[in-house]
Amino acid sequence: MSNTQAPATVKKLTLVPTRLLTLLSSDSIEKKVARDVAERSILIKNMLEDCAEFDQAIPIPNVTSSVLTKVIEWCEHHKNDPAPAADEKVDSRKKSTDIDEWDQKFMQVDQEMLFEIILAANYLDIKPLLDVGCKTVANMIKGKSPEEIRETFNIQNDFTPEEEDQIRRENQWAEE
Amino acid sequence: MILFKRHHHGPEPPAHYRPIRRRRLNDASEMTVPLPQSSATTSSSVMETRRISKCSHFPTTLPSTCPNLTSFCTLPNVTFPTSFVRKRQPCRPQPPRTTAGISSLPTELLLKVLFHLPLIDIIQVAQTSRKALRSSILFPKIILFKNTLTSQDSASAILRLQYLNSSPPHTH
Repeated sequence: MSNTQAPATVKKLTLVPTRLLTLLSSDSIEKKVARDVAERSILIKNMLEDCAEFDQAIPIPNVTSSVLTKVIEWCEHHKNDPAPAADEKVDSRKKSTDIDEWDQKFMQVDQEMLFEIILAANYLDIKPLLDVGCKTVANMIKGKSPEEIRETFNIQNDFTPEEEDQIRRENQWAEE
Repeated sequence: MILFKRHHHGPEPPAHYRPIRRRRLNDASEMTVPLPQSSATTSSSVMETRRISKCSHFPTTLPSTCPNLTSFCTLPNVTFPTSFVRKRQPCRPQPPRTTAGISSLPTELLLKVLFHLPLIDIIQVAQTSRKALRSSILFPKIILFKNTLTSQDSASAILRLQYLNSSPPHTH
């Protein structure tokens, strides 16, 4: 009996067209996106599971249209990727240099956009994109001195000279 | 600034009536309307006051000679409850912030970045700013390292550092 029902189910699934969702960015720009692409975001996926029908645009209040466009671009490219492993230790063993070539090019943006993508990935709960963003920043930090890191990321040195001396002395062993 | 405007259809003025000239106020004492003291003239004074309130020339703003609100408030008869007065908070100079940089990342995300770095680089990051220092001391590798560091011998410290770098990071 099950053999006769299985092909019918498959046929039914293939006939269903890819449903488009509308995402509404913080600057009130609507973006049409396929449901399977949008579901790379765990936040949106859970939202869709909770609400059966979504006729209206889904508001994404923390993400601007330019950042949302980049995030959708990433999700479209990675829509067929397997779901991330539940065991985080598998990911943690990977080195920060392990970034896919396409992702490396994707992340070649100005710093403002890079950090906006990281914040958006965190908000939308897209762990692989968050990892790629964090790895990119980590690669930018690697091998640099504190002063070089400050220059790279425009970090304000808010230590007093005494504090800076003390911290340098405490960490001198690492520079030997 | 008060102007006693005479109307043609009004009652006859009392004998001592003298029109008050339009003039500018120089202090608070001039902001009161001089009313006649005798009972005989009280009723006409009340009438005059009513006319004043209906008069379209009655000023609704502070006189221009009053330089500003501060000097007005320092007049002897003007007092405000202390609870109404907003006290000026002493300002502490704040370092200029970037609009969107690594500083815009919350500590939680900064830790995710540090997670991908070897200990030697985490220590470099820790020396860049207070926020980075606060984030890095939360990092498991640093905590573990500081706990195992019992001597100031840098050679043994580097050995521990190498060991920690070669081992996977601890997530708890």
